[in-house]
Amino acid sequence: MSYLPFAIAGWLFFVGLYGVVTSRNYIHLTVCLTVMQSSTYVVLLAIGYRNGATAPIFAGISRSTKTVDPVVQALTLTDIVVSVVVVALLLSLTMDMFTRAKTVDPDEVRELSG
Amino acid sequence: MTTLVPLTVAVPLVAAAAIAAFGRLSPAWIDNLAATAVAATVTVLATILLVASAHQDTIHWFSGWTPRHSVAIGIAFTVDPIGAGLAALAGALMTAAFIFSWGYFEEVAHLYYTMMLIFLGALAGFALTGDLFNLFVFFELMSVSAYALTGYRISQPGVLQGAINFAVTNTIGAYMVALGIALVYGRTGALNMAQAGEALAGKRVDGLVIAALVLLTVGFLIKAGAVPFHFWLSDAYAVAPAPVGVLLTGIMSDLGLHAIARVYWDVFSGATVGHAGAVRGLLVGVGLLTALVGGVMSLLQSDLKRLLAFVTISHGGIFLVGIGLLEARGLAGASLYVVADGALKGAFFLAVAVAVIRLGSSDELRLHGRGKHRRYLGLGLLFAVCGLGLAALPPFGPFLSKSLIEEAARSAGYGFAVPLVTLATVLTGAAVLRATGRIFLGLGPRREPLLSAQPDEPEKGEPEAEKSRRTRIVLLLPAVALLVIGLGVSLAPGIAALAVQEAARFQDRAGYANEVLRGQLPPLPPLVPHVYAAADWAWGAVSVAGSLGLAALLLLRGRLRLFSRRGRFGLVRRPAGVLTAWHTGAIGDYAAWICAGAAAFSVVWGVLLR
Amino acid sequence: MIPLQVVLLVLMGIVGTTVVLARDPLRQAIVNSVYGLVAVLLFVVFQAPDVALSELVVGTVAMPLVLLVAILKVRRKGGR
Repeated sequence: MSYLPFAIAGWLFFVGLYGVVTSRNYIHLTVCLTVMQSSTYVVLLAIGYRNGATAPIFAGISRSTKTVDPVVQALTLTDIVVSVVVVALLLSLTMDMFTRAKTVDPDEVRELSG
Repeated sequence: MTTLVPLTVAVPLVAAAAIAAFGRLSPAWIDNLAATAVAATVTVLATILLVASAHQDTIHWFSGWTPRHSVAIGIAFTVDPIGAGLAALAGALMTAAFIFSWGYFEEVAHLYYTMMLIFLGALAGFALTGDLFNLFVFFELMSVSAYALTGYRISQPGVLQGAINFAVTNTIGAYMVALGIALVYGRTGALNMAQAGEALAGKRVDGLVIAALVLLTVGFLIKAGAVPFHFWLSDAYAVAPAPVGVLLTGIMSDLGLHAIARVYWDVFSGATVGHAGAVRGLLVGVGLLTALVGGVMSLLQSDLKRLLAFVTISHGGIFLVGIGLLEARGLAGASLYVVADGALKGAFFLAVAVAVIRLGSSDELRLHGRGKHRRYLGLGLLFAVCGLGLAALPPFGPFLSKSLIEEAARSAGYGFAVPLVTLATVLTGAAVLRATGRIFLGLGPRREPLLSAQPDEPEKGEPEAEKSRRTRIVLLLPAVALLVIGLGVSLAPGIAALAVQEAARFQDRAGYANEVLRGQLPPLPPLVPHVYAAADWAWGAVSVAGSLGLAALLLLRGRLRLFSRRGRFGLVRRPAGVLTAWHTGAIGDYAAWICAGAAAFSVVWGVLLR
Repeated sequence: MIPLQVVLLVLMGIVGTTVVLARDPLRQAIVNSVYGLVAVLLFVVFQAPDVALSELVVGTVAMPLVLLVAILKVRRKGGR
């Protein structure tokens, strides 16, 4: 197994985290979270991949045909669906925040310090 | 018996769907009655499972996909008494929360019940599952429903910010957990915890295993609110509506810690067996730091909900010490502590909500002396008993649990942890007792420069008018019931010995794997009757006396002319100021802390575990 | 690992970085949909057509849509 997917995944995770740390806009921050999340499926797919294997669709192939691991693909699907829920929720909270506080900058809402 | 296992999760989820579909048609009281009944059912089911799993785990393979040739193919729920006990606690807290919301919200949409029941199903599933990816899914499910519930009845930017901080930090945690699970799967080809543990056992610990361990531990520590990942917790719990807060403070954080114990013992312990000292040192160190930081911060709050949030953080640190000692007595103590303390914190959260309704604020300073009337005697007693319980009053629940953890610490060579854990209970107990004294006895000054007050927020969405007498009883009843559970858990005969026995079974990785994959029962660990040591009583007395003394000192220092000179006071104020200044409420700072904490974990374990 | 996979992985890294560095939400939403497209191609070359299909819906249609709604709502009322 090559190290490249893991390096890319690590890079995406940290770039996303950098975005979250420095973000001045909740919408921007939410998208940075999805970049972090994409690191999980890069890792998952790389783990399940076999050289020269076909997609795990078992209709009409012989039993000896090598396929990639279908489990990780199921995990990735779950992962994608879950992340959409989180994004939708965060964006709706952001919109509410804008109606109440007239800003979407995390640094301008200082209600909870101390 | 095994058919009961999926029901514990399925019943609340199906009921949630039903209420979402038909709730609009039925009056609100029917929704509430149904939801309460479902929560009570979950409690009963989990309690039955708790009893049934006393000597062997109750294992349910979905759709009958049992292991073939000791290889797990399907997805399993493996129920041990500790997991079942946590599910039962979740059910009990949810029941109390529903009974409370009967008199609390004037009018709640049926979606509130839907989300609460999804939350309950996720909590139960998280406690019972034996599969790593299942763990992740329930982690996300409980997180998402909790974010939505925290922002429920949104009325101020503070609430929204708390919910957003909660959502962002916990989502980062969830991604770490997902990455950790992916790495475990990549190495072992298994998602079943027993199977993954078998594959890792006896193998060399390399970078990939360490990375997986760090990612999973940090991910769950974010959920558990350990320092330095705790910042979101004080924001979110301080703004959550009362019935939701009961669940958050009473069970959700502690489930994060349970997951660490679960994953460590079932998956990694076979590989890291030669380096247990490094795991123990780091977990106990983080636990102690969390316990003390949380304790000091709870003493610096004037908002009661936020105060309780820091109590949750602090006591979570104590649980982490118990789990991190990697000893049966420590785990037994932590598990009992979670139940006793969870019920107590839930009761206190409800008591605070009642104070908001009847006295008009959740701010300690604003409530100064407002409870000084015979009418509020019951509420005041509730506050005081919660405070004493949090200070580990002998011989009740928290005292027994704390003693077990301290005995484990002494026998593991971590004797220095005992006074530190006691200091944490002194601080948290004193915080609650000080608030009690100020509100119900009118002691102490009205202004307190040391306390960080929250901005004045009118508590919208909560009933303002004084309720009728009948409703008042409904409001207090669940809190009293939780208090009885929390304090009385230690009085069940032989509970300590049983807990230690079950904890030893929990920590037997090979036995667990044999049971799950091959159906072979491991021999039962011996049942040793628990006897309190003299030191346990001594530290218990120190904790209670210290709490009362510290609370009295803080309230009466003006009268005693202590700290009255500016210079001496500055000695306390400056470090306190530094500590509070770190809690900025800005999500960017929190994410940076997460990054720093994760880096520290990687360095320590990367060096020591090889 | 085939060359196409290497190319797409590196592209993921580059476009992902661009998404983070695009500070204006509207611009970011556009870059983000390109990012979704790269992810779709990555899934295809990693032999995961089913994941690619769902990412196609989520990453290039659903996500930009909810993002645009949020951005418009925040902009319309004269926000920053």
